[in-house]
Amino acid sequence: MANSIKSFSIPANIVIIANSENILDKKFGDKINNFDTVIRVGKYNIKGFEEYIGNRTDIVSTIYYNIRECDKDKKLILVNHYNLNDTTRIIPNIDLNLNNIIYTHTRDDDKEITNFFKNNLTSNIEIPNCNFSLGFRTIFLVLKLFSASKIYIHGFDFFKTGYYFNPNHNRNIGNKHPYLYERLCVKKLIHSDKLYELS
Amino acid sequence: MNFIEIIDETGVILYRGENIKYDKENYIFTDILTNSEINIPKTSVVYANTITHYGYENTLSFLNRIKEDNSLSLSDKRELFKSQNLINDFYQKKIIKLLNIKNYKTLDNIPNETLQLSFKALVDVHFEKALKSLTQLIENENDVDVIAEINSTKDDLENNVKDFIENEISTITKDNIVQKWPTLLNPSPFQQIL
Repeated sequence: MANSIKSFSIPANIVIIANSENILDKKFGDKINNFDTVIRVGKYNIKGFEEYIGNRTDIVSTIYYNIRECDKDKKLILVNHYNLNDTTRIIPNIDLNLNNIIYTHTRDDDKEITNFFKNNLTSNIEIPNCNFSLGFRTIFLVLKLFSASKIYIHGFDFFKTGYYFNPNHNRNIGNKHPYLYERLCVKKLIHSDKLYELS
Repeated sequence: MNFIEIIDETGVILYRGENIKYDKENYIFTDILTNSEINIPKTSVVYANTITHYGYENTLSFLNRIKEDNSLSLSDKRELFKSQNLINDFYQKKIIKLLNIKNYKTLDNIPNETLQLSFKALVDVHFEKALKSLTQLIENENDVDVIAEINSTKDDLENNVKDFIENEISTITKDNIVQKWPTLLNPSPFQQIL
């Protein structure tokens, strides 16, 4: 897969909508629908939540082996959970045979995201076996792929809460995502005007 | 869909991956991405999720689903019970190692009080380590919002650990520690910090 965006024009503004429960605090549906490009993450669920999160979906960012049937016709950013230190984990090679993939995350991206993460934190953090979350990987990739766009985020709290469509969801100790550090890193990106929060 | 490891009795990993479909009718495991059958001799395997992913409870739930499968013969089911015992042993060894308890081969020989004290010591060690990391983060930080987020995490951690030590440690016994263990170290946000 080429290391560049395929067949996609660069929008002036983008909003990435994640799935945290606090998305239900504000009814941003109309605002979200007015963005040039709406990117949704993972197992998002629009039905019944339109007044909070809008109803458009231009791009879906998802773990490549978790693509849902309902998203197969949408433009896709495919993310992988590479863990560079885990040599035993089997990452199947699959040919998805989809024409609408605009980007596939590569192993080089994994090196880049680690540097991106460290460069955006003040402290020199050493986290062994760092497995970034889908949300964090999506932010990194969108910033990289759409560097000329103004990028907004909404609904990212890195698992302080569950999903807005399933409040009980909380990936606990199992997945090793560095949520606190991801949260801090995103705050710094916002304060340095590299990202904007929807308000 | 589950992350799953299939391990034989000697601990050798036969298969490790996600997206496995279980065909109850024919007792076939298939990698749904490659659509290839996973060739596992059905009478000699342990089906286990990895401890670092979905943990013990999910493993048992997975085994129970298979055990409820009416298409399995009694001998197959006996093998699954054996598998469950192997998983118990596996987790017990992990716990003993984690708690740094010397000279005990199985949890059966450990008094509940020893388990509780060992677990408290482990939590204390992790707690101190996490607090140190958070303090270091604040020392190097000048962004007010980021400092507030770290302080909030610190408060959450202190409250969770306090609650855990006051209310949960005393409920740990040798009979339930295996079931509880995957979540015992989850007065989060330990996992975010360590």
